[in-house]
Amino acid sequence: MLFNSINFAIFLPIVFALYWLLQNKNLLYQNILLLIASYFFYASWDCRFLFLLIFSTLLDYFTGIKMYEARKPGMKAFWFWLSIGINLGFLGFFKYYNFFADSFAESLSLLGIKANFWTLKVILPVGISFYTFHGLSYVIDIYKGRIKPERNFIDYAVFVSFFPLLVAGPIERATHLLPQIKSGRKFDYTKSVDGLRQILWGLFKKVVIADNCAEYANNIFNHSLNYSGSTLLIGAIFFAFQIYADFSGYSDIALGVARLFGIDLLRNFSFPYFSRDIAEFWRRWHISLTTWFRDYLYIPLGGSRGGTWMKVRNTFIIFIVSGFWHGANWTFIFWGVLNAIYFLPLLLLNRNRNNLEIVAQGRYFPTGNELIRIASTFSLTVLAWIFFRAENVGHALSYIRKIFSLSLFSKPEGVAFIGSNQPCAIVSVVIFFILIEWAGRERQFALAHLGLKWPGVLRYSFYLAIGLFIFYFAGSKQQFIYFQF
Amino acid sequence: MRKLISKFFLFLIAITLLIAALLYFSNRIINDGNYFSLKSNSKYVVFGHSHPAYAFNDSLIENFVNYAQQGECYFYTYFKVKKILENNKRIETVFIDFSNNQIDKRMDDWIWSDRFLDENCPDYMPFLGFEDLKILIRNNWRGLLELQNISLRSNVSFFYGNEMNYFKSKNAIGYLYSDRQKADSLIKTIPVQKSNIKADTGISEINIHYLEKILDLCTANKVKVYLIRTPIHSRSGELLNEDKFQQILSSRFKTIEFLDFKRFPLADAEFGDLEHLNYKGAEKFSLFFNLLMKENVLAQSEKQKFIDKEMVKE
Repeated sequence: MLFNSINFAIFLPIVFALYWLLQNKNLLYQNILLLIASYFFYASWDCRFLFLLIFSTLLDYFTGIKMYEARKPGMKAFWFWLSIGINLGFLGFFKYYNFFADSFAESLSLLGIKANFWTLKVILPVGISFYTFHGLSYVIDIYKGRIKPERNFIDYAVFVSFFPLLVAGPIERATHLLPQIKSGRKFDYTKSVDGLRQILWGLFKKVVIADNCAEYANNIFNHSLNYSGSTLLIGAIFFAFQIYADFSGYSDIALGVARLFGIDLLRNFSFPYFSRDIAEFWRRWHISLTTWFRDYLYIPLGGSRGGTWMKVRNTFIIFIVSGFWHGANWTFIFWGVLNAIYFLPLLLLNRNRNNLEIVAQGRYFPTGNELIRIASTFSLTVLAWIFFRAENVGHALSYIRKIFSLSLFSKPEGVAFIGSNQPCAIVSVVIFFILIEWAGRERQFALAHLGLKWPGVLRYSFYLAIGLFIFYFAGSKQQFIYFQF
Repeated sequence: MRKLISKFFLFLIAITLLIAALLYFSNRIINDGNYFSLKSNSKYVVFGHSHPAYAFNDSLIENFVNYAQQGECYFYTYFKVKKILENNKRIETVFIDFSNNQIDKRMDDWIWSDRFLDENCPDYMPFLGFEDLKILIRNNWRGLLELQNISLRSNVSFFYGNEMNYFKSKNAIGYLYSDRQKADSLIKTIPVQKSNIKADTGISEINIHYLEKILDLCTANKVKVYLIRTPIHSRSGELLNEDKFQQILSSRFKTIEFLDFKRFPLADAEFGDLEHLNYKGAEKFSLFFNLLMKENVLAQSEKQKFIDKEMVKE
């Protein structure tokens, strides 16, 4: 059930109405309803994997309690490693089995040994990377004594499987979400309206920007041998907008939907393409995953304390693991390594926390210097996205080689830009999108405050115009990219 | 809560009305406009799906226009015939392709399956009436709803485009050039094709009903109408329902003359595949058809016999 589908448009109002009808009854009923709705939502993807989700939930629920109640440190460690082992085991099997089998066989063949490992047609359960990380953070936090285990199974199950965040995040923390699930929620008009605005903007990002850019990006990446460097460069830029609008659009819808139920989720994006360096980019891109790795991997490894060697090692580890989290392909690992290479000079020169404030805060326009830094950071990001999108490393390298050839200065091939809409119309809406994002960059999301002080007629006309854009420019429906992770 | 719901519904109603108005007016402008004129010398038009689209090279046939379109069934052809006849009073004769697959139950998919709905319906939305919409709603309301934006875009792109003929402004209408030559290789796989792909699945009553509507339309406009079957390879799996095809022809269309070119002599190399001609086959067939028209085939009392005799000479 995609967020931008008719099914979801029917599902959401029904759950919303039932949920607030139960407002004055009992919190437990509200949470049971959320749990049933979440399991229904998940089962609509593939009901076979619902059992995996329930098993994972039960596992972490019980090991959490067992860990807390264990009198001996050995028993506590046992329950902890059991949970970690099973969680990572499932993730590893469903996501990485074929990758490791193939890679191992290939490396043996380099040594002249022929190995034939079974490769299985494993279907990746939707959202496994996200809900496994929910569970892992919960178990680690209990083990470290940061939180107490949740005794109410319904509350815990809602924390793991709350439908807006179930299949593509944001990756929540028990410390942030569980207290909200456990406390009574009152209907808040302002919050709900804010949620609806965020859903509207998320839909615009996904349906108008991401799906249309995807048509060109897919065509260019899938036939990159046929195109000149200039076309490939444009294809990479389209992909950069596709992945940002796709994932941040999904997150906006998820956050907006959660707000309709009176729940605030963690922010996942903060206008990353306006970053002035890569360190700032990583503070603004997929924030819930970045902070997860920071808290549960980077800091336990020693973080940026220690000597230079330690910093270099930890930086590479966190970026490579982050790349690998995205999928079982060397392209993601190269993408991670490239970002580590971008990031490392800033860390070693102690400049990784230079740009903490919002760019051009309180001003309409950036300075020339800021603009150059934004453009150069964006260019580096686009280069890295080529690895992320390419079929394999060879494809990415040949794609980049062609961009840096003389054909970069030739006229782009028109045939590459055949899609549901005219390319000039899509470029215009992308420019409109950038302007709105720029105008709203000091807020939670671009539409959060935009137009709030305008006269009512003008404001509603603006929202209607966005709605009309969504209807008119809707490209061919594409799966959300992050569902495959 | 009430405030939120009322404002949200107000917003939904406003946007729905806005979209409905845009669709209605853009459809109306197209439907009422004069965007359907053919070349001034056109007296004969052929309609149908890919079979005639590949078979009739209309540049080789005098006063003849090929208006067939790949993947189009009678449900949609009906609206095309209607607009062409309304706007081109000099048309004397209409040929409607009547191939074996046009009666097949699978034609229902050509009307309302997601793929064909997306490909065909947006171009015909300006002309669909309530009864036609009811058929689509009954069988794929979701698909119909989801293609409304494609329909609006299609209308807008026509207004901004340079092509003044509505149907010509849409995809690949008319003669389709093909240099494929796959008949040989397909014949080798024929047992598979016959058993799996072309199995008889029943009759598409809706498609046949729309053929009847097309014929009634031609009669009402005092235009001569013929059913026509273009050359098809003798090994084609589509011929498996020949008995049923002949039965429908003789029972439901007995008053309409049928011109059958099924056995038009062509080499395998003149077929693109077993159902469609390539450019060589199209050239040979079109020149032959032009000759027939010059010999006034339509004035013959026993047209099929005349055609068969001429085909033997080929």
